[in-house]
Amino acid sequence: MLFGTRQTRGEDDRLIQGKGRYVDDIKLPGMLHVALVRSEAARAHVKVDVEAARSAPGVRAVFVATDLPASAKILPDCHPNPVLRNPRGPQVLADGVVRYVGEPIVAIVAESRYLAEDAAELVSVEYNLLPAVVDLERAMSDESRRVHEDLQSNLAARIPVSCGDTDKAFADAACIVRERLQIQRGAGQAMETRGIVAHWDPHAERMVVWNVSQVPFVHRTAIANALQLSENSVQVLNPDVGGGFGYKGLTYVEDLLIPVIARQLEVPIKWIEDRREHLIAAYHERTQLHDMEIATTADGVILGIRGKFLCDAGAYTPWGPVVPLLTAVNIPGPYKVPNYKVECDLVYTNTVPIAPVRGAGRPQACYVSERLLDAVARKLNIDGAELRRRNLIQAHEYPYDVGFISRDGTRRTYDSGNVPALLERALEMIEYDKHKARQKDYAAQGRHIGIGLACCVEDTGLGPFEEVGMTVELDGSVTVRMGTPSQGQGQRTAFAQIVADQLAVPFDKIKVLAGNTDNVRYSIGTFASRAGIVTGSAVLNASKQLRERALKIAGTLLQASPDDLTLEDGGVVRKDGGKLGRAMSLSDIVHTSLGESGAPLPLRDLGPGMSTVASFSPPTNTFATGCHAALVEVDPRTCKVSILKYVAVEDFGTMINPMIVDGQVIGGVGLGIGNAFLEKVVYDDSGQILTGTFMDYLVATTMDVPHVHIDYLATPSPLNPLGMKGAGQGGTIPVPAALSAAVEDALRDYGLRLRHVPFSESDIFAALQTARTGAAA
Amino acid sequence: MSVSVSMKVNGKTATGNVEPRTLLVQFIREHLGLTGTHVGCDTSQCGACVVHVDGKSIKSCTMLALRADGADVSTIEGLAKDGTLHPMQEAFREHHGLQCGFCTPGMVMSAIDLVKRHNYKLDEKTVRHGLEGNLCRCTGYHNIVKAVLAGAEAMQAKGV
Repeated sequence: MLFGTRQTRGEDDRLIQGKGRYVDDIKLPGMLHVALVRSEAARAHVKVDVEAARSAPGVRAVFVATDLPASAKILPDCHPNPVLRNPRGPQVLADGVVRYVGEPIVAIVAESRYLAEDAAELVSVEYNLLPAVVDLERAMSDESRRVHEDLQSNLAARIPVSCGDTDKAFADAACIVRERLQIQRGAGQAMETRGIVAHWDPHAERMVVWNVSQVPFVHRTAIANALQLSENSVQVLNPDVGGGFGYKGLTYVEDLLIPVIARQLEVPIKWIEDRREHLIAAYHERTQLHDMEIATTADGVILGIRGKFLCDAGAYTPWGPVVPLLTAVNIPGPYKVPNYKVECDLVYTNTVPIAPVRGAGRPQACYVSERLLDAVARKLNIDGAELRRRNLIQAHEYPYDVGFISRDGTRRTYDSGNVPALLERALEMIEYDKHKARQKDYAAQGRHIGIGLACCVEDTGLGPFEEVGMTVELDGSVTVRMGTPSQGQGQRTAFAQIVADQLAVPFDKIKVLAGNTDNVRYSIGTFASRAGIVTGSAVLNASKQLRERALKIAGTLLQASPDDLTLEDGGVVRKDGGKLGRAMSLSDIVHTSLGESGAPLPLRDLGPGMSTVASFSPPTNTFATGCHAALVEVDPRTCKVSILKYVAVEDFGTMINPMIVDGQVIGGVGLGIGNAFLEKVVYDDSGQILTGTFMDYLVATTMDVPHVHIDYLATPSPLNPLGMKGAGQGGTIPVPAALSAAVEDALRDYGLRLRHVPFSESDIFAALQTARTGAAA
Repeated sequence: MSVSVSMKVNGKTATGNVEPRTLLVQFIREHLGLTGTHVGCDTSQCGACVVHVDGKSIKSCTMLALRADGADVSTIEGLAKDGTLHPMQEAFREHHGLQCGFCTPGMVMSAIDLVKRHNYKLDEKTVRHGLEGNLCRCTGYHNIVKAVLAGAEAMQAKGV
């Protein structure tokens, strides 16, 4: 069995030798290069003069908004939702008005990127500046400043989620705690930026596009619509993608613009985003301001949670209200919250639009519920672990009806889980009791050591389906074709492990092809920890079909019952170990069942060859869960935080390859540490973005991410045949909450309260000052 | 205006006519077609473009091709010899030191230089300090550090 075992990756041989094929590695004869002129103003009416650029050396064409066909002027909303009362799609090229710094205005096409950038400097943009909308609360209160002047306000969507009777819960409560909690804007920032190569193939009459998409079929449709072609005239390819993290799972204006230019000029066109563009123009996430309160009994049992929050949409809504909706449904997390009422306003501002970034609204939700619990623990003087024990959904209570409708329109029901066991294991691994007991001794030694805990749920494995094609080739090798491309998750390895078990074929004789929309008929894409579950289950289904087919064909040829046969070492054997009439390999089966050219098919009833197409459609999403614990030491003079130990205990259901899953967890924690301490997109009051390089936008380095102690407890999901729950985001979600709690606990004697992430040393210093003056007053 | 530039790349002589402003990474990628060296930031923070120039690791997005005129350059493509992976490459695979693979060539090139600068004697702290200028968004670095420590040992054992 390879399923469930460590298997080094089939992907790596190419990648470690520099033989990967990323979009910037694509070079086509006669290819021209695009540089984009982007807005330098957050909100302005603009007039553009491109004449000087047109005649610059090497320039072959210049595109402004009026050069685009009507079908490619505005990016369509890929996620329409009735709560989105005022959707506004991004402009492919700004047409008279700009709404965020970085919005593209002009595309220069030249013989090299150097020459295109030279010409871009000759473009004159006259900005008639308007006051920018940046602050979220002001965006709602001051209706005279509107991002979209045709709207009455900056409200994009109002999202209510509720169950039970919160008024009664709060009236009956012995303890009520209110908190204002803020999560700052961050960004996915994969090491590979975005990029597109588009080529109109006049022979095949097709638009061929290489890009960095997590959702190539969504891109295929968007490009087809923009060019007014059928999907069968568009092919999207993404052989290797350098990290996805969610925000590459959306359509961007450049995804339409570059193919439109390639179609008009009938020349291959390449656009590679530079890091500055990636920081100021690729979708961001996370900005939310929560005013929340929690009601409990005197023993700390949750009676209800209610409140409002604002979510920063940025200037447009390319992905609908998905992020705040995910926060709204995830706040109760793994806890029993019988009465719940939250309302979110999704608010337009003159900033980069937001989209899901690894965690996707859930780190915010986890931060809110865990910070509220920590505040209750403090107020009631109950130990934080004990308070969580009292409120977690117990193992026997699964499946658990949360009480409201989930993101996918179904009643939100946690299919399986055992978070109390995750918590106990995390407490054991972090040596909670020992360190808690010693905190006084540490303090006497002048050491400030604290522990933070955070539990989370993650809705994973979303529908509606994935499809795979599978063929046993004449030489007995297996080809798997799928629609969900990899951005580093190791799907080719993981899925080959599933196939190897079912068809008894060696791992290295299985080739998994992805990143080409010609591979399958339809696909949804790789996001929300879904590919392993949904595509993986389709791979299992296809493998089983071919296994059954192989035994049926062999049974017919050997005049044996298929029930007496099984597959071993690439061939058919008798289950009872008895001798077969003749040896029969998978290769023999394929040869025989394909027949001879020109002759009748030997097994006409069974049809030709060993090939199938199978799909999987989950009834609804499943839920991964996790519990993280952090032990930190803080120096109250410098406010430097040292992570002494970090523990992640995860329930991802069954796992195909624990080595890959470990990698997902550690990498996820790395992003979470960035979210807790470092990663902050900053806009000034005029909407200028101040974090346009990696000098200003800090991501975690080797010095920031400690060793992560990992353990798993699996409650297999009943919602898919593999029992999986998805592992892509669990590492990230609880980190900011756990680290905030740990730092507060370390400086509890100083009355430290942290109410926003990320927090730097200076933020801790400021919060200590506040605590001190608050105490004095 | 273009000028002639000539250097040794992975043991072979490479010449070309480039605009004087051409960066070394572009010469390697565009003119020589060696696309294993990546550009992650073009402001020398991320380290995806690290190559060796005269035996020392440098960020090739911040060096003009002309400055490497006459130099001995090696890139990720030059590491494997006769179909055998360099021990550091092998260690990255064995320890799952990569996910998307985009930072990997720069990470491996930096690591090899680090091993040599420290005469094969590395500990975790040295590796973490030494790779601070190489960013990775997938792995959380832990397996990279493990791979580099294992790679250093293997390099010494094999005399590489």
